Amino acid sequence: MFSKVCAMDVKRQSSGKKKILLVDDDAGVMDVCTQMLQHHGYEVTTSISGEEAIDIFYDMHFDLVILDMGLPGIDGLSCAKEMRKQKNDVKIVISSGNCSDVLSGKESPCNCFHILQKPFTMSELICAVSNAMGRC
Amino acid sequence: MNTSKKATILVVDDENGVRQSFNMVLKDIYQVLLSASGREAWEILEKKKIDIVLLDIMLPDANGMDILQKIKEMDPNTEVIMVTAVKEIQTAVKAIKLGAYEYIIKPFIVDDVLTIINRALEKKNLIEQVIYLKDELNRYGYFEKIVGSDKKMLGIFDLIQSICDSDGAVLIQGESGTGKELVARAVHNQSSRKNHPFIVINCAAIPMTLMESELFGHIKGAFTGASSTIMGKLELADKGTAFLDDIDCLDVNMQAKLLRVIQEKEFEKLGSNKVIKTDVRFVAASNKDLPDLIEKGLFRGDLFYRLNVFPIRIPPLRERRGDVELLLQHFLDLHSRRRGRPGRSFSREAINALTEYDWPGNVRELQNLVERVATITKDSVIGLKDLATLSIGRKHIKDMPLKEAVNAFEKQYITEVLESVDYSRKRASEILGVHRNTLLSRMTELGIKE
Repeated sequence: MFSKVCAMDVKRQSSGKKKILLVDDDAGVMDVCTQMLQHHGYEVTTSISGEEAIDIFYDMHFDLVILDMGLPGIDGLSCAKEMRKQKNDVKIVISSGNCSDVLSGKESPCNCFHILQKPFTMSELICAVSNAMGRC
Repeated sequence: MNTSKKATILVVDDENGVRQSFNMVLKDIYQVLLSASGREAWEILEKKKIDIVLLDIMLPDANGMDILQKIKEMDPNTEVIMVTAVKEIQTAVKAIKLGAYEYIIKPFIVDDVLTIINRALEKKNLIEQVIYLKDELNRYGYFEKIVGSDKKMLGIFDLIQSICDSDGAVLIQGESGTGKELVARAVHNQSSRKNHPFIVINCAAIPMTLMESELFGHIKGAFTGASSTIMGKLELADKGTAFLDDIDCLDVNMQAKLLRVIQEKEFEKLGSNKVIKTDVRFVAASNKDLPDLIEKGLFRGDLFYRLNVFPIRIPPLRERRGDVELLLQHFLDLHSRRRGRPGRSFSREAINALTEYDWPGNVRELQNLVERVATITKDSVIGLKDLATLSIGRKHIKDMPLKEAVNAFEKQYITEVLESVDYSRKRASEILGVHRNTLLSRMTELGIKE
């Protein structure tokens, strides 16, 4: 049975797979997304909070970040900005329950590749990730 | 049966994350409905047809087990998969005993969920197919195979309904080709024995020397050639029905042995002393006048009275001429469906001619005629001229225009001559006194095929 990967336990691996950082405070959603992404050949690291995600991001290289906007503590937008400071061209997929707010907001996350409206399906997630990965 | 459109899955869980997780996994493949409580779920179940329910064991306003039972009462064919945390597995197992299909443990493995749902849907579809086919078979088997609107036949249908659940023996009498075996099968299929065997014992076809072994079976070494132990037909028919066709063909010796089985409900295999108990409903048939045979000492009176608990007399076709048209169309439809040529019929003149015919071979003869004529004739409407090669149509040639009547006669005559010489055109032309080419030309014009 798949068990969630704790951010601090991750070892650096050069498996050749694309690496994704998945940030969502809902454990169930995160678990399912992880399974699907792994099934599609991605290496997935998860985090349930923005602060932890930023720490992990500083520590490791990721090809893509999937970021939930509605995080407790530091929100997804601030999290994205912090990550941009570290790596300006980091690819980000935003997931939100209310994408119209995200798009019309004054400080929209710049250079985000895709916005996923929750609830999204597996195919929508994989499509968004593939598109984002494709633009490198 | 839900074969082409998406199956509908209802997810019932108070945790939003769980609902969203299932939604993400399933929405691409199925139609997914979500509800956060027992009450919401029930509102959906009352309005929509749901194929699968993913049901949380612990809901805020209801017990998952209660909902499971209510769902099964409402529609036993809705599959329920319990969703449970590890600590609730005992309850989940209990749920399966109450009718749930499976359980899923949270957090779940996506592949496992998809597999379980797929299997549940397969099971559901199979059950629906079986229900449908059984229903068709019931309708088709009982009503379509015994076709009849004549009041004598309707009386027989009523009689079958009223006697089917008794264990009393049935004696079916009727001329050859009237459908005695069909009636016997109807008695069996309408009874509580329908899920058990219906065994046919053709008393006319089995040699007298082998009949005892055929009925009772034998043990290895019982006689020369008995190389293994064999179950007899009566043993095979246990809890079901034994149909003894042409029972008048049993010799007096066998009649006595059969009488004992009917009375004592037990028998021994040939070569063995071991008593085998039997629970068989006996249905017998004969096209002979059994009371007459009793008088002549060829049939046992006591056996007759044992079998004649429920007598059914099937009238010959000439006593129910009103059914001829029904039967003609019925067999023509069957034939047409098999050949992919729907919409064929008999002309009014043909039906009238065939209704006046006496049908010595009864329904079997009628069925054979339809098969023959429908195969040979290419037209959608089968007319009197197509019957002209048969003796049935002969007397109605006088109602035809002269040219048609001459052609009909010529066709029939040439066909009969060809049949008599095995379709040798040389010999046929010699008999007919015409040149071979003339014969060939007439065959083509009249539509005579070899």
